[in-house]
Amino acid sequence: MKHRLTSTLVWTRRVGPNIFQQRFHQPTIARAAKAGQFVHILPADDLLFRRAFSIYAADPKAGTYDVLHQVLGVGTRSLANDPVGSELDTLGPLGNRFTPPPPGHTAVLVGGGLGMAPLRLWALEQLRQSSRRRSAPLPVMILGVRTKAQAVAPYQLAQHGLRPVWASDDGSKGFHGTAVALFDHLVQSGKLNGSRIAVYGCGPEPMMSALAKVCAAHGTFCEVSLERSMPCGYGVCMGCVVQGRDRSGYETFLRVCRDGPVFDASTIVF
Amino acid sequence: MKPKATKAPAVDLSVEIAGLRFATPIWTASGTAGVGEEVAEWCDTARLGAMVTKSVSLEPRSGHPYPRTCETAGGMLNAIGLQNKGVEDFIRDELPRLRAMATRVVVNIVGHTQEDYVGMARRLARERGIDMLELNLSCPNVARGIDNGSDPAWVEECVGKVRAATRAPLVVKLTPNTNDIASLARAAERGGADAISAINTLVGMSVNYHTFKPRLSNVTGGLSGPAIKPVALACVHKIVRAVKIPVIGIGGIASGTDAAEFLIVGARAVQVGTANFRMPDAPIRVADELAAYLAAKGIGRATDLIGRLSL
Repeated sequence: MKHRLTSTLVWTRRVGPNIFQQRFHQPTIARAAKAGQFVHILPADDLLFRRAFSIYAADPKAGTYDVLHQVLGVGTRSLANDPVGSELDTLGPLGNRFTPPPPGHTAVLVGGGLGMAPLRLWALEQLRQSSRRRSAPLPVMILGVRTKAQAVAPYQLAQHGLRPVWASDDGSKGFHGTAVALFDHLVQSGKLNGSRIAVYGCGPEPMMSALAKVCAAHGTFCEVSLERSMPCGYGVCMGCVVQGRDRSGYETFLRVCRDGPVFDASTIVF
Repeated sequence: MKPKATKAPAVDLSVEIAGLRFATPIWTASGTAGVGEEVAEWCDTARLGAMVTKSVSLEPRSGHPYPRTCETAGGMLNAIGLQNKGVEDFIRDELPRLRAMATRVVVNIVGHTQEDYVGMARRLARERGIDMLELNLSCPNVARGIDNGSDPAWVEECVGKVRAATRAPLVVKLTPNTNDIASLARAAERGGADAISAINTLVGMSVNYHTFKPRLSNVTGGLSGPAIKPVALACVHKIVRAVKIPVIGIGGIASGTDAAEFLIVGARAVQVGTANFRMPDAPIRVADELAAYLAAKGIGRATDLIGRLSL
């Protein structure tokens, strides 16, 4: 039996323009969290529905997990303004997780904006795998932002040995262009071997669509993490659907909260 | 906002409807608890009065595209479009799981025509483990969903035909999108309904003032949640005075005292809907809170609260 849990706010940090990182103490979630999964938090008693957040970091020993979010409406504003020590009604961890790459394949993580949130946890899991099995290749992280100011906390990646390759729409940070264009360029130029990589994407849906198409063109395994407004988060309301294909190839609506949020990109009809 | 475990006081919550005993008057509402599988992960289903399934149709339906839901002041709009796999897949994949649950099973059925309802009732009559059928004559999110269900003559004829096709107890779920819900209830009673459930959602709309577009792909949807509770109570009040068969209240019930209000007005049971989206254990909490309320009032049985409205 699953239970609603109390998450206690440990701290809130502003890490970008209107972007906040928040740490919660909740040992059950911290121990169980896998990269790709999310928590469903009720930001305030007077709001009807919870808000879904990808798990950005988890520390099983400390019993804490982090989320990363941009203030976009009443729910995220309320959460960002909560004082330290606030107790939030939480469901989690919910949803599925990223699938490990086949042996010998390099994990390539392609994130857009706050889509980097679940990818960071996945990159750290991959790094742990690499340190256990020396033959396992290190993950490659490609992150796209609109402008340099939106590059969230690069030091948080560097301190774990992650050195992301950046792309920005205005050319102010790294490659001038999108993260998908940069990924395509790296494959085309032979810096990444399309048949020896597994790609994991998270970001705006047009970006995930573009990434899926590029990966399909290169014959590359690709998983995408999708985002939807979710009234329930546990699979009953059917509100968060995306057009996809079931196992028989028939087109159907899949629930992002329950069938995802991580999908094999070839099963989504973008 | 800390989730608190509640312990139910010793109060008899059981109620009887159509000759069946229900452990509590708190049921799930159709469309808000799937077909039970997900809810069972969060709730001890033995403590539910009944599990009312998502609407099942004769043929599979894919439903409407995203966005299908939208939060509004005190409520939500939905236009899911009755996505379901159809009755044959329901019987094969989902009914065995429902049958295994230690609660009453009410299968909600929906059709385009009266013949659809009759066909569904006949097909389901051959299956074990179904305690009741709830006829959804009132979905606002599909073509002809309300048109038929707001015509008393059509309601009476449809219920009558289904009545002739099955011995299963029949609950008829009515729309509030009419100017005379009492006449619909009387029509359902004349057709042979064993109970009335009310209300389904109210037609509503929301617009994104940045993009000038509707917030739902279907343009309009069904309004539910706390915002509709006063409307639901008024409808139940009208229906209770219009018919002799039991009434099951639906609309914005999220607490024990919400449920109590419906019982006081005369409902014999209630269905918890939108609250399930906020709290996956909502029906159990509502039942526990109702028990606590009754105990505090010195009322030993839920049935003793029914119809105690003081006018």
